Amino acid sequence: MSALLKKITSRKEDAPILISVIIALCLAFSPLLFNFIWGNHDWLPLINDNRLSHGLIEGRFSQYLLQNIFLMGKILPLANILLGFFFYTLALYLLCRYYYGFQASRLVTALFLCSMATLPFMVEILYFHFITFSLLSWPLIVVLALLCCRRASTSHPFIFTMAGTLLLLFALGGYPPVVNLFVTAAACRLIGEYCLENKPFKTVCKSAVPYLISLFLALLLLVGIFAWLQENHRMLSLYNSQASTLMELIKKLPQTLAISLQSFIIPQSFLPLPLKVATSIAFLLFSGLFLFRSTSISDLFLRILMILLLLLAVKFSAWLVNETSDSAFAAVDPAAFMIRADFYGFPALLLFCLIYLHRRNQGLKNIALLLAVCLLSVGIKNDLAFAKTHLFGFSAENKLLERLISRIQEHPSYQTPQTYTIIQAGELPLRRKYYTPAPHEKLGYYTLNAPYTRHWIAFEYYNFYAPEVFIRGGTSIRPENITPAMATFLTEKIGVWPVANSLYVDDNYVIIALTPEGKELLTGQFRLLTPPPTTE
Amino acid sequence: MKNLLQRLNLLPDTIDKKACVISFLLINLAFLYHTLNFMWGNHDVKFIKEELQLSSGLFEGRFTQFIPYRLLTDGQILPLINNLLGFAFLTAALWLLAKYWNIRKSVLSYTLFITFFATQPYTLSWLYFTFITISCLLWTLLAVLGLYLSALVSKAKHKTALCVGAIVCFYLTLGGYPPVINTFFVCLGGKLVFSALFEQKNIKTLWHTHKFTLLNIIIAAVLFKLTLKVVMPDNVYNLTTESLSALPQKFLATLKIAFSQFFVAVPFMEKGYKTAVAFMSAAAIIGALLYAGGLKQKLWLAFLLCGTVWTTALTTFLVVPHTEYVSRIDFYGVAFLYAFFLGLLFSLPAKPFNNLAIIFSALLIIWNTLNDYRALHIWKQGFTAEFQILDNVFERIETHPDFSPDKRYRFYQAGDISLRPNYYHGKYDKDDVFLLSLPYLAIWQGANLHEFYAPYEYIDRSLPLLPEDITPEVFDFFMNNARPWPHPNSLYINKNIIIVVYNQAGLDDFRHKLRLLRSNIP
Repeated sequence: MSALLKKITSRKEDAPILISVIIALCLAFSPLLFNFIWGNHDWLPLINDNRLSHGLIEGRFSQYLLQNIFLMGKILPLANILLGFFFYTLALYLLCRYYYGFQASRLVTALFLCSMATLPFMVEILYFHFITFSLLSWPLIVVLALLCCRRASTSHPFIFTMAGTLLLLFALGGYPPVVNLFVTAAACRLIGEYCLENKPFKTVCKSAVPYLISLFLALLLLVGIFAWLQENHRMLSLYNSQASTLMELIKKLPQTLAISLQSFIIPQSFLPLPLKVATSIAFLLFSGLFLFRSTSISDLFLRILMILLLLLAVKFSAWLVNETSDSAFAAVDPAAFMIRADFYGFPALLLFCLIYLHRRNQGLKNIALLLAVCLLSVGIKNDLAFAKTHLFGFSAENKLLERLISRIQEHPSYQTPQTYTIIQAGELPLRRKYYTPAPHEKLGYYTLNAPYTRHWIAFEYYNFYAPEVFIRGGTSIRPENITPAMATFLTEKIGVWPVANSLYVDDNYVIIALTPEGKELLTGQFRLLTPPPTTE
Repeated sequence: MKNLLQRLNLLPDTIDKKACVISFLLINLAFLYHTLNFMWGNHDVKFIKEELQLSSGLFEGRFTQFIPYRLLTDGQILPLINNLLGFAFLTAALWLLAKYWNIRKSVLSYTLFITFFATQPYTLSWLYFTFITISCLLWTLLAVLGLYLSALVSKAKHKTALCVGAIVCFYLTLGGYPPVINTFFVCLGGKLVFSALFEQKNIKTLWHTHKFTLLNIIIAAVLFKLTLKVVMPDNVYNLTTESLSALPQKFLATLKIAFSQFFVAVPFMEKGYKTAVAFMSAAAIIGALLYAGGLKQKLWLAFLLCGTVWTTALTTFLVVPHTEYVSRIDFYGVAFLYAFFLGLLFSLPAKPFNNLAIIFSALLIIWNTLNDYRALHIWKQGFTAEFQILDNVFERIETHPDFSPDKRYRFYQAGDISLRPNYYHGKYDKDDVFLLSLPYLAIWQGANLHEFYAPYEYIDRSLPLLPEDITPEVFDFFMNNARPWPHPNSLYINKNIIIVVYNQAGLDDFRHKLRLLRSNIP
């Protein structure tokens, strides 16, 4: 590690590369740097900070460790994102220069890294402030793990493999889909050894051993930790921590490969068709050239397998995760197309493709440069477009929240000081109003659809700007608290916001029917709670 | 590409690069508050939410207006990039202008020249509307490029290619914003002065060199007019040109306007500032006249200087609407004239004049920046205040018992509210709508504005108020009970219509319309 640090610090001439990547990131996301806006999970962490144990509920035992070390667990405007950008830039630089071993002029390196850094896969990560810093810092930990595994094949195999395992486990404990970066980058590196460094297949297989051991051990330990946490009632068995069985993995293989291919083609929110075309061209050119250079049928077969492995690697987390446990929430945004997970796979793969093309003849070099310029320009444009919808959507929903609060507080039954349980039936996400989707576009959940005001954490945002807490936690109506007035309201009078009878206030509850769907759900549940008396 | 730039003498050297980078950073600093606060004007409301189409400007004959947006941002108005790209184009344009005029070259002179021009509060007028910022700042680059290419024609081998290039530049800019014609002629006038003074060129040589410029501009203008015939824009106010017979009479009027611009104060460019710039201009004129040899050359130079000053009012001379003292038009004229005088001061061989140029430009850049920040602070307050009213109006609409988000209402906004002037305490002779008094809550944008942050779409945009909407009850309400905002009777809602009254003038106008509508009902 100290040798690596010495090596990095001795390369002062690379400082402009790092600076340009950070500047590019700051430019692409400047509206989010200078306007402190946040996502729907952030209301409470903004006030109470992120404590070390906060991630345990979903098994993310290391999620807030770095945030506590560097920012005292606080979510700070500017610093939160800026520090994350710094870590991510460092990760990309190490990946490019020291892991992939790319040696080119500063300008070319800076261009490649800027184009990768500003890819809009990051937008979903910037939606939630409470995990922005940690999610942006995991790539650095994973790249360090990769460097350890690489080193293990030449010296101190046990020490470096164990170091790689621990680093990977540390990152997986913060956000398991970071495994995509480990697998993708490792696969790229090994392919590079095979095709660019012309190493024999056997040597490449030997080099792969530390990676496989690290991956296997880290995943095994992760599963063990999950089990231990669940047994001690520290962790809930949530949709996002269920792994597939071996049989399921085999069954899911073709489906995952298909999803991976689709991800190169199907436009997604803020990942428009031109960007998909550019990424597809980069990958197709790399794959075509890689296959074209095969020396025999068996070699061709081997190379096809390697490309399939790459496709699997970028969606590795989607392959591992058990989809049968999908809740309604996960079904809205299946892990397969979650760009937050793609953030860990695609940039590493694309960077490798560009490097591969750049190492060929002048024509391919020019194509690689052109692709990098295209990706950079489309990337920045879409990053800013995301920032714009985020800004407007946040304002629009906060204005609605202000109106809701003033209506509650103007209600004749509202009394102060008094705390209420709020039942908000329905949500009104408004970001979509400021976005024109392309035809056949796959809409992203956190990128565009998630409301800032989730109904099940209503107390967090209703109290956020209030001078005194007036909403208490909890989102359910207790049968013993049902009054005839409430029953009449829920069965007869209830209307949908903004009509006057969309709101009910009594001594304990505030009920708001925000949308027709929410109202139907609430009244349906209420009917189940209080079944009509049966006549015998 | 490199070869082409080299042949055209457009390959920047170290001085050029340094000056451009420093200027670009300084310009961005001067407008940083705007860049980071993403404010927009009253024309932008719909475009900022949706996208600009190539055809969006056709109705007023601006057929090239949105080409840059479609090419650069896919028609989107994006925070940050809007200003950054605009300023990059403006910086390039001013660097090219310095080359075109042949201003004495140094990092300091180029930097001060570019920064002085770009930070003038005239530039603010292109920041108010975000939907044309990039285009209208790009036009300056194309205009100067057209002039630069035209100036090369007389000595070049490939005359036709250069002429075609220049014509395309002029044509694109005219198709985007016709008042850019001021830039063509102010810069050409400046070039003639520079050539006559420093290259000792006589009328004949000047004509020989610059006849191509005139020819290219005329061809581009003819093509522009022909395109308008094809495009067939709506009959809008800003396309009406003066008849030939009216021009002689208007010449003297515009001459007066052109010279009065040195003294007429407008918002954020008050008397003191104007006087300082006038002193700088006077210093440049005195210096030039002192430097010119012989009475004949002095008279010729004075004539050229007067002509250059007059060209700042060229648009006012050519069109029917009053365009004098309008900041966005003066950006293409007066701002270039001031820059010309600064360039002249820098280029005079006498050291005292160079020192004066440095002192004036440094002082004025600081003054410009302060004025820009004053303006931006006022814009921000006005923007926030007007949008707060919009929030309150919407809250009243939403809580009205006759409002249902499932319905579509015909909407009318009577009057508007402009709050930027409330935060301004300067004195001016002529108001400027773009810099100060234009409301964000414009009367004709009511529907777009009221739905901007609303969770629902509740306005029927296909129909205006209909005669049958004016029931006796509605008529009576507006004739007798309605009052401007924030009175409870400033809002009227029934099952079909929503009407908001913002001010008394709007209410009076609406009453007048109601009487007319009423009289048309059989």
